[in-house]
Amino acid sequence: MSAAGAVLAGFTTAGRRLLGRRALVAVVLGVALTATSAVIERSTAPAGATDRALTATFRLVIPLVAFALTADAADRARLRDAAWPAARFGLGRGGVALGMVLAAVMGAAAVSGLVAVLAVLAAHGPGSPPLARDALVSSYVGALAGAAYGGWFSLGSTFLRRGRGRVVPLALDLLFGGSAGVLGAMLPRSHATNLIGGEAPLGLAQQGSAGILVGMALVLGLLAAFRTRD
Amino acid sequence: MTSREPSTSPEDDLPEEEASQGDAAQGSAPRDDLSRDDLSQGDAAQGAVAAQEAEAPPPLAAVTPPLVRLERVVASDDAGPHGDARGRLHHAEAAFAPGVHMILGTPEDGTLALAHVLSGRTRPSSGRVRVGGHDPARHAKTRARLGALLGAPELPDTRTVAAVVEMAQRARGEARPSAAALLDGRGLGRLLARRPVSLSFAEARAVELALALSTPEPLCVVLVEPFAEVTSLDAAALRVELHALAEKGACVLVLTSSRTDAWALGDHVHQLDRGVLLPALPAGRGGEIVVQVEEPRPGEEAAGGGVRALATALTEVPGLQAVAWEEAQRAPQVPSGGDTPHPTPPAPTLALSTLRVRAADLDAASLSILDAATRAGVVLASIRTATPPPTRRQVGRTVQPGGGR
Repeated sequence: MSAAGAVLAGFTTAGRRLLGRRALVAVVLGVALTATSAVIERSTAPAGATDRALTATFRLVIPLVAFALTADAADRARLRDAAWPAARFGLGRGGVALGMVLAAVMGAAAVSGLVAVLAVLAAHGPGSPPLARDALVSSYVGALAGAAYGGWFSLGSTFLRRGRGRVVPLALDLLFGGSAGVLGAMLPRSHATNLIGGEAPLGLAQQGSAGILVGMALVLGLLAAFRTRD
Repeated sequence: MTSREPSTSPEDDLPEEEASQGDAAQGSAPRDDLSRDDLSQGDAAQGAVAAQEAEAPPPLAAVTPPLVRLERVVASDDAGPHGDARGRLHHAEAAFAPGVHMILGTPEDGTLALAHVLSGRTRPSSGRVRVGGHDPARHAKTRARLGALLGAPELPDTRTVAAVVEMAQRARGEARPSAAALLDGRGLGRLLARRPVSLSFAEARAVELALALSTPEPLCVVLVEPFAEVTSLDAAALRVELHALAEKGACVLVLTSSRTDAWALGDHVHQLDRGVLLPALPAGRGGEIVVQVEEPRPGEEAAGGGVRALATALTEVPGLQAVAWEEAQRAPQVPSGGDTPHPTPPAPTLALSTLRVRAADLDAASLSILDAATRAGVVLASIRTATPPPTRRQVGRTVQPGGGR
């Protein structure tokens, strides 16, 4: 079977895991948390509720949901071990892993975009910006952030037993992701904050942050597959 | 692992790196120095036996280059709780020629770790594994010709079992994949429409076993306990199938903790003991078995073990004609000087004693020795037949310091 066959096998294997019950529970929890926080923000002070709800969603919900989905795509194991059931029959491990990373990145991007839209819808009030445009921009930023987290967590999944290395970027993002300095610029949250109108890391333009998020998803995902190759 | 040292070995078909190591391929290299003393004791008779062997055609396993090779492999499995290691390999060395090889041991002895490195599931921490000249953990094409039934089933999560089988067949390069043709023939057709995750442990192992045995042009088939926890298993048919695979040139490695299964099936039976792979256990009718036994380290004598404990345990075993031993002599410790307040004790060295057992049935005697070693808590360094068979006078000469019965 060709390299494309290996990628497809990895993608379908991880895709089935992402359609399983564990991943569904993570998505439902993320959606519930986002909706609840947005409703609370709107009922507390309608002015600026959308911004505050989005900030909370990008700070906590999106990283955690992306983490859960990436872990599920790799069957909560090291990426190398997760690729084994397909690779054992003669498929290249790197190809299978690349398919798994693709599934994880796409799944994280889709759910993160969905959660960001939900935050906008639930927090929308009389003084908020136009709903359609706000929802569209938020979904695009959410998808970029989710994909970047997918790349980071996939790379983390290649380290330590059972892929526990994926905890490192999550912890770093929770601790330093709000910084506008060099460390913050290496993590997805600061760029997502820039894209939703917050402080820019290292004074970067919004297009720069968008490009960095795409680059993180691509480069880190490929690096994860490279580290898993035969 | 070949059980005999062939006089010639056709290395031409091997990859370069394999051919260059041909001399070391026929056994366990680190053990060679351990058994050299014993071999030298039979020099007088060796010439005559070598002449006899030159006339007779050597056994197939003796002239076929090894297909599977382990070189000082250190590895562990992840079968314990929370992914911890359940067993380990400690510098395992072996070379397996085509044939059916039984490896006797428990997961704690490292059978799962061995199966994982042989199948390419994991890479060893150090050392090298070669199947057909390639590392199966790094070479996908080798894995396509390698069938594996590991301790726990690991099937890809697809829609149905049929999809798993056909994916595997396509990955292995089979032109016309057909899950029904494979599983119906083994009485597993009812599983075709099931989801892999819905299979019981024994059903999933049965599917894995079917896939392993149907590997096209197999180089190696690694099976962990294939006679246990497998649905719809016909043990007799499986034995025939394994021998048929071996006759086609595959190296069939069966890892089991069942001595009955081991002796019922294997052309060569090896023991994996606490991470160390011993050479093939002696088998056949009549002869002498030479066992090397690790003596307890200084200060650990109270815990038991050693050649005397093994010899004592063997006195209760019926069917043995003679037991004799030669106890290893440790270098005496140098008394510490009065000027040194805290003298450094010399590092304890490994002392190996030799035990010789004569028996009419080597299969039964080998089992008895393993049982006795387990009972007495004795660590065996090697176990082999005495080559060439020494005369009675030579036996008497080699066991001077020890006793016998």
